[in-house]
Amino acid sequence: MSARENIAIDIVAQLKNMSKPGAVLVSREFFEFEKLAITQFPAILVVSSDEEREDISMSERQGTMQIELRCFVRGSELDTARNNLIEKIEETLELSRDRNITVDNTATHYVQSSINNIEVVERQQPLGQFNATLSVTYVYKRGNA
Amino acid sequence: MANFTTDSDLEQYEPDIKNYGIQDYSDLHTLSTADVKRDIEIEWFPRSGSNRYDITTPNDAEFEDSLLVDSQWTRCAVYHVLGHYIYPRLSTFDPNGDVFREKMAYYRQEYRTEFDKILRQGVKYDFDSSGTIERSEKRPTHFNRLVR
Repeated sequence: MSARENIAIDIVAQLKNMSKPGAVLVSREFFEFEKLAITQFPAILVVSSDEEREDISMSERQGTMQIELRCFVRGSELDTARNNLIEKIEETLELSRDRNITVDNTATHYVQSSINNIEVVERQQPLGQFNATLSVTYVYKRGNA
Repeated sequence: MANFTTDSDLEQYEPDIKNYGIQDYSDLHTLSTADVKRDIEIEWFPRSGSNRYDITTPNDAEFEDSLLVDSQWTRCAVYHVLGHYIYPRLSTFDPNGDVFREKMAYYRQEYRTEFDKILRQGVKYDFDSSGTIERSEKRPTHFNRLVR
């Protein structure tokens, strides 16, 4: 399986296991947040986004991919809800910056990830949204992405 | 008091019902069952007539829900719990409407339809507490009779 896919799978698994304030819905399948049940918030849409790849040696390449976490909360104290969820997501993803990828000398050599951007999206109450960007850098053997 | 429905009954009608953030609807089954039994007591029992062959004799007996046959009410109670308890909890009640409110209205209507059908079919009620439902204990209620 591709490194991109393994990384995305790990992120979804970690976010699904978050304790309070955990996310009720974590999905890589697009959903219309306005049509969710009131009980499905907080909800997180995980989107594998752009990636830059480059040669770093004769046999290795490095990829830096952006994974966007579109996070939706619902309620009255939206700012608090957003802040609490941001904190929880960062804490959860920091537990394993290597995204639990099995490093293999013949394929993936190195994985490192961190959240490097939070963007608050203004929504009309009772909905709140922010997008967190997780930057994942990984090195892999040429031809084994 | 046993409930008419369980979560597995719900999943037969709404397979995705556990995907909305609520994993256990037990408390709602209890509330719904109580409501359905109250509707039975209000709408059927006074007209059921413990003295079932003399319309002039009022039914003075007290309604005992344990004498009902639960399985007869399962589908009806599923519609009730979906329409009256579960979908109202899931709906955002957005003025523009949402799928959960649509389903709420649908299941409420289905509940009335199913409830009326059971009355017309004949409520199974063990009047003599014999443990078996005799033919006379599941007669249609006032079928084709004008009730004033």
